Amino acid sequence: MADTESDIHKGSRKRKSLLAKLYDFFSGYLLAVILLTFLLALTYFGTMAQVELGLYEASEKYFESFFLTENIAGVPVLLPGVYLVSALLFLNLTLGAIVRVRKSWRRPGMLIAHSGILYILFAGFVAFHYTKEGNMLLYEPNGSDVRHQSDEIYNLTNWSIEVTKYDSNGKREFIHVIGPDQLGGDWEAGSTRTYVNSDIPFQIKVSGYLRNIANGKGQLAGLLSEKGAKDKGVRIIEGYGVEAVPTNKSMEFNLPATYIDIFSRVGTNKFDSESISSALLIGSGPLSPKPFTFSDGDEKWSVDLTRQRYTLPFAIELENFQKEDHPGTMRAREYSSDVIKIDTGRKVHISMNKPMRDAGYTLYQASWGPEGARPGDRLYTSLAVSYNPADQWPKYGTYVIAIGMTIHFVQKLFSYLKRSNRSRRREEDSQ
Amino acid sequence: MNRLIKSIRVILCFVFAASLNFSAAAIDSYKKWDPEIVKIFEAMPVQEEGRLKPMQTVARYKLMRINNSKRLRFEVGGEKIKVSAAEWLMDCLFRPEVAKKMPIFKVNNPDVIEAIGVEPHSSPRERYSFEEISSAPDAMKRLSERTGELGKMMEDSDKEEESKAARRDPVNAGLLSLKSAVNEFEWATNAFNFARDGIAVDLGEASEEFKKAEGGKSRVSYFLSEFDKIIEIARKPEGQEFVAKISAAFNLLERDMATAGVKDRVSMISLAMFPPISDDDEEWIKPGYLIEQLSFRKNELSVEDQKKFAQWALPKIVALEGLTRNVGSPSFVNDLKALSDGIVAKAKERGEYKNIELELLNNRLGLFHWALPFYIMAFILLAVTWLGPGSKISRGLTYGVLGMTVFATVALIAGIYLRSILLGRPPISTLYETIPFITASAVILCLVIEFFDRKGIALACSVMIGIIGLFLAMRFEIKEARDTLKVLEAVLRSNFWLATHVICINIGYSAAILGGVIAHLFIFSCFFNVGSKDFRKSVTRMVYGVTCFGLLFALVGTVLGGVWANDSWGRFWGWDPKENGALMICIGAIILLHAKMGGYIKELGINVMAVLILMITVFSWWHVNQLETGLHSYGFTSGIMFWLFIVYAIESAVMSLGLSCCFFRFPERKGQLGGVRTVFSVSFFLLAFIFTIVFVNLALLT
Repeated sequence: MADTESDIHKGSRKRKSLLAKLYDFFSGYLLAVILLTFLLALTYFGTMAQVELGLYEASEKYFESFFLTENIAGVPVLLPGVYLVSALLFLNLTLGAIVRVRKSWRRPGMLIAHSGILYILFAGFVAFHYTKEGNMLLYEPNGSDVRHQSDEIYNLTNWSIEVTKYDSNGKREFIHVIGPDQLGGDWEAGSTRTYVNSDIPFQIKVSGYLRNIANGKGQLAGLLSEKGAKDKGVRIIEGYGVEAVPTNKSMEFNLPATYIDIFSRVGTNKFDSESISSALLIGSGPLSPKPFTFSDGDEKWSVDLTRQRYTLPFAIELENFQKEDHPGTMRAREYSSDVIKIDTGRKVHISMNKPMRDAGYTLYQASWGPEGARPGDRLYTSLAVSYNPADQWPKYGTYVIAIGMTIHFVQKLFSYLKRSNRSRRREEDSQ
Repeated sequence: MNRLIKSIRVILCFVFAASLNFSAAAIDSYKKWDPEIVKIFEAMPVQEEGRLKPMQTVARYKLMRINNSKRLRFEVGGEKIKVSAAEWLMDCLFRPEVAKKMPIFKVNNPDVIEAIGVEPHSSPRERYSFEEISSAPDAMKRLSERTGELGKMMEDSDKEEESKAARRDPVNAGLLSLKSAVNEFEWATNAFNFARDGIAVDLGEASEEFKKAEGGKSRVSYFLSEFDKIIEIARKPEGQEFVAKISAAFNLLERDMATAGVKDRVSMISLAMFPPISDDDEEWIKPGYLIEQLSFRKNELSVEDQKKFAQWALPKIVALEGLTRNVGSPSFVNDLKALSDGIVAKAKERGEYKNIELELLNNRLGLFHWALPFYIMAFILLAVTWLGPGSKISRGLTYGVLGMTVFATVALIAGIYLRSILLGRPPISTLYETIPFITASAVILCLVIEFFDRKGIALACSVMIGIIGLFLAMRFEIKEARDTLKVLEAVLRSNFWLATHVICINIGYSAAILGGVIAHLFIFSCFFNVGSKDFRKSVTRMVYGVTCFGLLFALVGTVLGGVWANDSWGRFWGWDPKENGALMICIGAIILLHAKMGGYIKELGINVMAVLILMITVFSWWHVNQLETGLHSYGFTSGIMFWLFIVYAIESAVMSLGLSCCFFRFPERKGQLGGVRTVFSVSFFLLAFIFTIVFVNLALLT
């Protein structure tokens, strides 16, 4: 985008085809300015919205959407979402700053800097679509106890329903997952969704899915006793009913609940009209899963409402966890975990700002617990785990941008200084 | 409107604070402490908030939390008395009866003091003494009840909104602040009660067993040295009478022990003044812990360790008893020196004392406070040069301005450097530390521009930024009233990232602010039709250059922040409010550069945009911290929203002034404005004007 708009107009007096006009528009400064202005406004709206909606919902509405409606001075206005704006900006930047720009080896700065920005935008796209993330909780060794090992991570914000079949020895035979995308969206009052799978000899009907039944203190405020549920006309299963509690701004503190009914398969696509089992499922944590179990014929099954789970290609064992406070305070100075990667025996010390990277996965020291633990209590370490193919790309992008901008601005400064010296000399000569 | 008038009054009060801050006091006499005693006391090391620091620092922030000042001023019989923070803390610890008469509690709102049944003073500047408040019938009870109700509401998660609204009420806010100050004061005056008052019962009278002992039978040290015997007597079948006699003393001792600070209860108001017995232990010991370990928790140690601990701890308690009971005697200074020497020697042996002397030097120099008057003097000289521009005198004075600005900036940089040495890390990690750093960076940038440009424009800006920045730092320190030299959370303990991301982003902030400040000159020059075309051209060139410079640092700093977040939290970008604020600065600057290159804005547009970027920077620097959400929630400061809205209102007004120039100041350009451009210019002008009114309203509603 080295030419000014006026230069472009001067050089194109003759009538342009529609395609050429479109090309001009999509590679021009006007679109860049419009898109950047939208990006500025959306970032502001999305930031302020976090006060009311919390980070997760505000991000979904403003930063991950194609379009959104914003009330500006009481008037609903349709705006493009950051996702759409970023995609258009990527196009504009590619056409204007890489393809159309007048390229000169004497002025490489902006070309390099814009390439760096494109690279970071692309990294953002890859990370948004292909990142898998979750948390792994590992208890510290406790005397003669076997050390805590795990190869599973749990997403703190997404929930899923896991349907598990057990063999005669009580071991897991296979798991079918009803994922967050199938449970997402609006659940209007009274609405139900049915889930079937060819490997599962029954149909699961999910009804009254509630995104949260816990209050800010973690108490199950939405769990109703039989009497309370009757008064409110809520379905009762085994003496309990549930009602929605306003969602917490921090999405990880929300606890969903739902009713499920199981219907046996009687034909290829036919199911019994009478349910064989019904349950009220309440979201369970990674360390204390309490799945609902039932039998269908001779087969044992369980259905569990749990945080979305991924299995890592390797298992980790916690050898030691250290937590150190600043003296005389409860402010953490340092906390770190010594872990062993089971398959290779690799020992790694994970601490704040020093993650472990292996097989495309990155394990970070995120937190520890339980909250309010007293000296001597058994602690657990919380490792954030993410799989992001674009993990280090932004770092490389930063180097490219910094180099490009430094070259450009230093060249500009020198040419400005040259001009000033020249004009000062001219002034002195004229005096 | 009242709020606005009050705020203007606050500014005026501050400017004349030094001369106007004396208050009518009820204290009838005051004997100053011997300077040698004060010197010894100030240099005693204390562990607080995870850091070893001199008693002087502890005293300063304690006093600031109560009195909004590092010094106490009052009148005794027409004589003006100034008391340093350390002297005041000594009064609290060793002469509480004097401290309780000192006018110390600042209550600006008379409704607050009336709400607890105390007669308000005629002037809100006059402080209230503890005696004055506590002697009013039921005043303390009312204060506890009202704040207790608010406290309960704050703890109830279902009443979050109600609690926020209640705390916004000026009377409630004032009561909470007064209660916190009273608590802090009461702690300070009661901290050495155990040493001064003893156990309120003479053991010699309580039991025949202690009759033969010589003196000191009501002292805590004696009680503790005889603790095993006391328990033995109490356990005897005939010990019930003895227990009845001393049970009240036990209860009082337990209370005084808690006030003096025990180990497991994290308290910011107790003095951890003794190095620990074990060299491996990092946590310093509070006097209450000595009592606890010699009595109630004695059995946690083996018999051998009990003996060792008693040998180590009892002399410390005896020393404090000696001090509190011999205030005013000639031996006081020697006793204090002996106690202090022991503590200092041990601290040196542990390698912990090295920074205490440096911190005392830093406190004594007060480099940030010294820099401010020099910037003010430079501004006055600068104003004089404007009376006769181009004259020889004016040129001479300009060198004076430059000299003073350089001197003040060197002091500022030295202050930042000293803080870095003290904490052993790069200069910025808290919101407070950003203020002097951003001020220094902007001033240095101005001086560099002045070196090339030599038109006095950047020099004028440097002086103004210096004054505003240091004034802001001073007000912020008083408002927070917490030690500004802080230890860091685990995630921030990375000198590499503090030295790269944080420094870069703050240089970006300083350049964005500087660009906006310089742009004011262009807008005022246009609106008031002063200054030549060349002047405006120079200003615009500076704004453009500074914006480019700022963009480089803001963009690189923002992305580096993402890289840091990726290493700490496992995600590059999380749409956290602070990240978004930094991104908005970058976007604002990129819009300016692209709109200029596209030919959509010219000189005026560049300068108006620079003011908008200044507003965005203020939003990112201060406002997002007030949203109480996000990972960067380290910098919440209550009560600054009013000032933020005032800044936004002023800057919106400046933008509308600038945009109005399109129509009123350059009528000849009217013809050049195309239809679409005219519509945009009018729309932006109206928007800026409407926002000015909106922000003024928001400020008045806050």
